[in-house]
Amino acid sequence: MSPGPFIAVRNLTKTFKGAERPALDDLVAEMPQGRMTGLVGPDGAGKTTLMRLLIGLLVQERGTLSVGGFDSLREADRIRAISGYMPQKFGLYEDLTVMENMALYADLRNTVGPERGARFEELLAFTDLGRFRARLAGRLSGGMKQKLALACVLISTPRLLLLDEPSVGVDPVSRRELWRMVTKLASDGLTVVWSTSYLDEAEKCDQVILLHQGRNLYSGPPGEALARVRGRSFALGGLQGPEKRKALMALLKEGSVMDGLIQGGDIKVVTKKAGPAPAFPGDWRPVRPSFEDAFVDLLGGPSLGESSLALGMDDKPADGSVVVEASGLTKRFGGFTAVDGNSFKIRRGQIFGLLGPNGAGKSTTFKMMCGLIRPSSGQATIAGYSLGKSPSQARGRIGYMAQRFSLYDQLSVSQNLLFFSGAYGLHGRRQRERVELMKEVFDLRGYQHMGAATLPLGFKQRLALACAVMHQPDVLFLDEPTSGVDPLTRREFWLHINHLAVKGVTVMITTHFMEEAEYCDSIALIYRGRNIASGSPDELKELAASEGLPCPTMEEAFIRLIGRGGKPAAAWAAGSPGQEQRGQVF
Amino acid sequence: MIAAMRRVRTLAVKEFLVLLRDPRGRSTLVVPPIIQLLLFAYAVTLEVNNVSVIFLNQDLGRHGHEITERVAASPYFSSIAFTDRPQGLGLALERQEALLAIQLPQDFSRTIEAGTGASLQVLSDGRRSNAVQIVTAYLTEIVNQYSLELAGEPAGAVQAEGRHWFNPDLVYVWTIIPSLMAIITLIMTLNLSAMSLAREKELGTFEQLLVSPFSPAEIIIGKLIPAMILAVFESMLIFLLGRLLYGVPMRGSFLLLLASIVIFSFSVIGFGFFTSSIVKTQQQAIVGAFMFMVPSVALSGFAAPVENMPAWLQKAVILNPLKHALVILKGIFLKDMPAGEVWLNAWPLVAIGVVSLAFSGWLFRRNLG
Amino acid sequence: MRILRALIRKEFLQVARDPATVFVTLLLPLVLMFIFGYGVNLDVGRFRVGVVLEGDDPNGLSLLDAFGNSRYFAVVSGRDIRAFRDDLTAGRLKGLIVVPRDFGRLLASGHGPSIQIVTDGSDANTASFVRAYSQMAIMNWQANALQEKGRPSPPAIRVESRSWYNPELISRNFLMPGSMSMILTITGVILTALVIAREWERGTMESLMATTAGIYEIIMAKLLAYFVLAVVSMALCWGMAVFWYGVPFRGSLPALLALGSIFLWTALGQGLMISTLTKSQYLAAELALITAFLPSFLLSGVIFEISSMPLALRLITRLVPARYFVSSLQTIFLAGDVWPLFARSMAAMAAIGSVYFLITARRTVKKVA
Repeated sequence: MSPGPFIAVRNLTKTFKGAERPALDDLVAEMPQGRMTGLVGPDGAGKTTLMRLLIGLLVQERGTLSVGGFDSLREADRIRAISGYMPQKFGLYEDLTVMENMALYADLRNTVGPERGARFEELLAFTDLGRFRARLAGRLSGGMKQKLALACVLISTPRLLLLDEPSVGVDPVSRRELWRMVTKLASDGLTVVWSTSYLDEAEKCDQVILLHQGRNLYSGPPGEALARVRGRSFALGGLQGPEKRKALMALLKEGSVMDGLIQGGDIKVVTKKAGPAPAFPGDWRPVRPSFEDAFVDLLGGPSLGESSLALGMDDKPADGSVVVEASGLTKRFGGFTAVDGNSFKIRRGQIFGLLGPNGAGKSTTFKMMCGLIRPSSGQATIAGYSLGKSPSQARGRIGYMAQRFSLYDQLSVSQNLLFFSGAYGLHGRRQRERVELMKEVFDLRGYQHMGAATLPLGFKQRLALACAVMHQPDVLFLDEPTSGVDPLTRREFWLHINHLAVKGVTVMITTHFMEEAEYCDSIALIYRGRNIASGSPDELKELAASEGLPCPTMEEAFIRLIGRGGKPAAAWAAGSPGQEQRGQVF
Repeated sequence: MIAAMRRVRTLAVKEFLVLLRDPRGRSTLVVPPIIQLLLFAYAVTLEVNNVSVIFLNQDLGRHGHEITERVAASPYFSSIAFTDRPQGLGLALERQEALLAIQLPQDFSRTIEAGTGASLQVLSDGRRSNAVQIVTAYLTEIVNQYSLELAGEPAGAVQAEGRHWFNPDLVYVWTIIPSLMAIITLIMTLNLSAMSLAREKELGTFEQLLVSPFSPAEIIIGKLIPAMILAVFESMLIFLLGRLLYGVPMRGSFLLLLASIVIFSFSVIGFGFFTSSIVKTQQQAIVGAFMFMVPSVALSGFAAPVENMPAWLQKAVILNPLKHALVILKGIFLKDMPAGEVWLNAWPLVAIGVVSLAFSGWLFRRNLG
Repeated sequence: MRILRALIRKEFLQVARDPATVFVTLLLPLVLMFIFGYGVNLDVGRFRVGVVLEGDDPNGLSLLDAFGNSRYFAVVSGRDIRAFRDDLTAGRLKGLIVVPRDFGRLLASGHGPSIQIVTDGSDANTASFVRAYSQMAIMNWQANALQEKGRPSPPAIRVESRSWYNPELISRNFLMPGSMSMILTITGVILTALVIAREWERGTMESLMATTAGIYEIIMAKLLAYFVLAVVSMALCWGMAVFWYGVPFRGSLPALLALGSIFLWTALGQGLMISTLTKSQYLAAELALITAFLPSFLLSGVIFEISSMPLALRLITRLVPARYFVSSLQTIFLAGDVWPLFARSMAAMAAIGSVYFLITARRTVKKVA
């Protein structure tokens, strides 16, 4: 093993035309040979830009990049000869079969001769795609596409593997399998750079480079980052539902607390300094810090406080009534059943999550429940109004926020607010009042005439949220609200959501991000169109626990429950204690 | 009901703002129509002039020469060449150096003087047969005129007095501007309406619309109104330019014109919404709008008369809004077409609009699942 | 070489399995040929005219007969011009020939009666035709009438016209070759531009570039594949023109292939250039439509005569490859192999194409941004 790093980055700067700040800003980093380096950071941090610079697809303004001893500017071809690069969308030809894709890349990477056939078989066995060799790549599932893409880059036995967010949106089982395959390759001496926004993956790498807005926030073994927050993490258990959230809000105002969030049945808190637990009544116990805690700490901690948004909302009646009810929701597309008979009952002030990988049917279920898709059979009601029979009234009680903030980019903040409030029936003086309140509450006044497209990300999120709640809906539907955002932005978002829930707004979210599920009161795991298990996060972990795995994480629990045959956990749900306070499930 | 109207108004206001706040969008409303107008009116015409002619003048007298002079003096013929061999005519035609090759025989003047009637031979390049027909008609008029002068108006000769109604001097531009008003409005409106929904779909705001209390009908009406207003704006722009720059007369009722434009835009927007309800991306919307536009213009009667189409096709083009619009606009501008006649041509537009909009609304819901 | 072969194989596999490409290459040309062939017919057919006989004079009836027998007119007759006024306004009649009450009397007394020819000036070309042919019909009638009476006729110069290559002056014979050029522009430019933009949007271009495949090999593979497709398109258009519409083809197939290849070379080059300028399918489509399709339609001489355009525009048409292709196609179909013309056209097109490729080469580096 050579002494120097395999990849050396020196003062690398790259600015895109028309961008306000550089994508990479004077970056310095090193990646050792034969190790797995995790390139971590939220969307926009610069991960993909760095990858593309490594393989020579982009040219930097300043700085140098050396890969395996070759300079990325002058010797890009030689770098490509020794590397395999897997871009974000996998880079597969959907109209070609598995074999055709592999043969193409073999040809493009100069892998010829008799060993070629043997190599194909080896890779097909490694990825378990042998049975699918004649299937069109477009017909593979997300996980299989991932593996095929990996096989294609491995064909020429490269020395360096560059994987750009390979596991995004894929089901947890496949994610695990891919991770397993790649770590095995790394242990065989391959140098791997794996970029991700999943912080739990980062924790498992040999070393980690944390990027934020183009700068290197931290690089080194993950353990050292964790050392920063050792002795500062505590968990408080024993609270339920609204009390839990109120307690969290109070804790966030405490002077000694840097960060806090809900984790299943616990409130988890990170203090500003190592020392005792916060001075707040309750059953505190110290817990192992997570990598996310380290990240938040490196970023300087969130801006806390109350959600002024929620202050502007009227209280909903605290009657525990069922606000969202769905029974037997089924959706068929041609011969394919995307969703098969899902049912839910969600009460006031609850936060309910639909959890599952992409393509499992959670988006379809979600859309049926907010009226975007008409079910093939079954029905849904919102606050007593049936979506099928009185759609306009039902939808008037809903607030909706989509993943990529569907705001009108060309319109100003004020104009967006006016439009959305008008769409929900606000007019005249009342409308003006609410719009002004939103601007006040979200500190948008300074931006009120700016085009929505030019707002910073955090303000966009606020604006989108404001537009969704101006009409004081009973239910807020959030579709993958925080995928890919940095932890601070996510914190702020959940601050608002939690406070809204305290005020009695029912929140329904979908996410493929297992950790986000912890913030919910109740979750339904959706896999292959079916609700395979529901309950509170802790209940589900309990359900999945076994001797070998007494305290599974959310993701481990999911994998277990999938493995149990995917049948709805009907019998289990019938008699669990404390059901009345939570969402009842089938 | 009032709530629905308020929602529609909110949506209409938003549509306007989205279009007008984008500087690129604003310039797209004004610049391309003006360019198209100038292009078509000045440059790209259905007239034929500046034609090249080659003569083989074997005539020994003055009449042959006189004919060549007359042709040279005509504004339709700009390039006159001469050859002294018969083969020269053929060669020039073959190489497309001349459109007409005219042969004046040796006895041309003699037969004229003798009163036995002369003839000149015209060979033309059939590869451009349309131009040939038009230009041969001009040539015939020149020769007829000469004949008449020679005859010196003998007693009893019949005078044929020609009068062009509606356009006495046969100003070409007058015939084009009303058609252009329709065509340009078609292009702009089709693009605008096809893109509007497709853009919302691509950006994700369409979902937001559908999840809010808007019904499909409200969405359509809310988008329809600004689109129609913009269509009227476009056509008025052309109207003003046509009147100011070219002096196109306006003999019919302005109100009737306005009403016709509104109805026409209604049907075009129907097509546009229909296109964007079956596509998913903006790129597909542009291609789709293009697919509507090309047959619309080709089969509208603009370049070639509808009467020349086979009977079954003539029935089919009733579905083409542009075809009706051309008849109506020319009629109102130049012929003071009465309301009854206008309605005869306009009611298909209403029908087309209603059907396509209804279909689009139905597709909204269906497409989502 | 192996890399090139692998890439070409991929292109063909993709094309075979992509319905959109198959549609644009195989179906669309046929559909457009169909529309243009039946819809755009510039043949001078029979014009519907109304002959108004205000008196009962047998001369009038004889004149009516003469018009009725003319191959240019379809005649309705009547007694009162007011009955026909609306028809002329509505466009149901293209002209009115009014024979006044005192026609016979004036003729007999030798005072030279006058006949009014009223045309619809809102369609300039038709009005010209109707007037010219009406005048001719009247003059011929008069000459015949006088001859029958044994009186000398004023010397009329006859214009005897013969058209080469397309003797019956069938407009389809020159329009079909022109349509071919438009259709192949669509296939060549739009297809190429969209296809490359699509690879960018799907991320496969990035993947390709990260291998050791050279950028030129990647592009060359695409060009070859789409060249073959475009030639298939051309063959389909040719087949439809010759076998379905009966357009004569007097040239040789090798010459057609040579001409077509060079034209496609420029079209593909333009498409390639567009795709290096933009990576979005939407913008690529817009650019392709504006810079390729529109000129091929407006400035190639198919419908609008180049000679009638102002000088500036005439010069611009020299930069439009479709212009040369159209005239070569019209020649090869109707006249045969005229190599001097072909050589000039091919040289011009090759020059333009080379410029596109040069620009592309300079801008093409194996970089994403």
